[in-house]
Amino acid sequence: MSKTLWLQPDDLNPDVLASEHWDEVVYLFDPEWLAKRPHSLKQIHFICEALASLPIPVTVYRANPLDVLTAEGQAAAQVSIVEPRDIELRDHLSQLPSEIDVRWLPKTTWIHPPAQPFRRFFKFWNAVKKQI
Amino acid sequence: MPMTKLVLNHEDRADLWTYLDLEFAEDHIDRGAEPSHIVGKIPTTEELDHAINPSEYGRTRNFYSGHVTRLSPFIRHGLTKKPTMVDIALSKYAKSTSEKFLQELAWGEFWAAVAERMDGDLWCDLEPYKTGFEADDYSDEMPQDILDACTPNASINHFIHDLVRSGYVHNHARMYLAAYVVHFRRVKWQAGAHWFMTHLLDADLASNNLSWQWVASTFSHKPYIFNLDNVRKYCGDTVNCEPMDNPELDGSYEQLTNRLFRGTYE
Repeated sequence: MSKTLWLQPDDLNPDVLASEHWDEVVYLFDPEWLAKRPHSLKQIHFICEALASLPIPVTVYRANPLDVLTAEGQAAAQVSIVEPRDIELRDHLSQLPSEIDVRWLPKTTWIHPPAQPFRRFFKFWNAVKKQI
Repeated sequence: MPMTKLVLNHEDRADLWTYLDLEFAEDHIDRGAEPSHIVGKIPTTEELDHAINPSEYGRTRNFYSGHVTRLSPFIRHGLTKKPTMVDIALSKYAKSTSEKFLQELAWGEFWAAVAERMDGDLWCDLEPYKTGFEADDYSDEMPQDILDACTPNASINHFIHDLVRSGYVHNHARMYLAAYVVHFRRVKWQAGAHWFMTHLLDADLASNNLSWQWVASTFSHKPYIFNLDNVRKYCGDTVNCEPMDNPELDGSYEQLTNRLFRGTYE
């Protein structure tokens, strides 16, 4: 089974990009997501420049994920996705058709949020600053 | 829907822009006139080293021309990582000197943690407005003069140009813009947050929407406002802060509070 890494806007250069072998690395501009979330051409241009600068070649599509990730020759591919921080994007991706075989990779975290919820920053800061 | 494999190796940035404009012609996105001056790439070690100065950051961060890193678009897209930035900061200064810089990095984590715990979507008011007004008193739509950077206030128009032309706005100016939209023009924070999400290269849903709620007072004890004296103090070396060119912003906090809010708003 071939291994495909599907990059997300949250992390165009995840640690796994270099630390694992990938048969293909892809980035998709999904028109459905573009319609759901406000976007500008500037943002798309910035992302495309960034993708072109990565040390590993990335194939970039404007397409429905189903068309790309289950296309002929890729039917047996398992698609790895680093879990996005963006909860709307995560929700959008969780609704992917079952034909796409997704392996979710944990997102990297800098600070582990405290168990108790804080609604004001400085209480949060006091709880996490020892981690730094 | 046709599947298009995009070609990214172009002669220059303008060529890529023209190409993408055609490829995304069917999508309902903000088109703009030209790419941002901020180039999408992985910042080099030298660029990070130059950008990160926690001592200067702590001293000047609130000033429009202060030493802020301007790395937020790169952080947002994972092109530079916070642990790397922390290592650079702490290689230069002690943790105590670097604290404001470290806190700034932690704000994004705070917003993300709040968003994770929210039972509902990020477009709902978390609390009532503390302005004396109800949510229904605020407009759903962004006024056209704001979208066109043609408000009566030169300083506000300057910040709008930053947003629309570069996709980057200094954090203090973001607060001015948000307060202007919500409190001076009485527009729902959601409309302003949507506007920022459209344009900012560092657009992060949790940070953006919860920051707008903080300014609006739907996620804070009181509304954030500013006056022209404040803009002059922090941006006066760069931005037109003449009273006659900023009529809506000119006034004491007491005058503005009486004008913008209803009754004993606190």
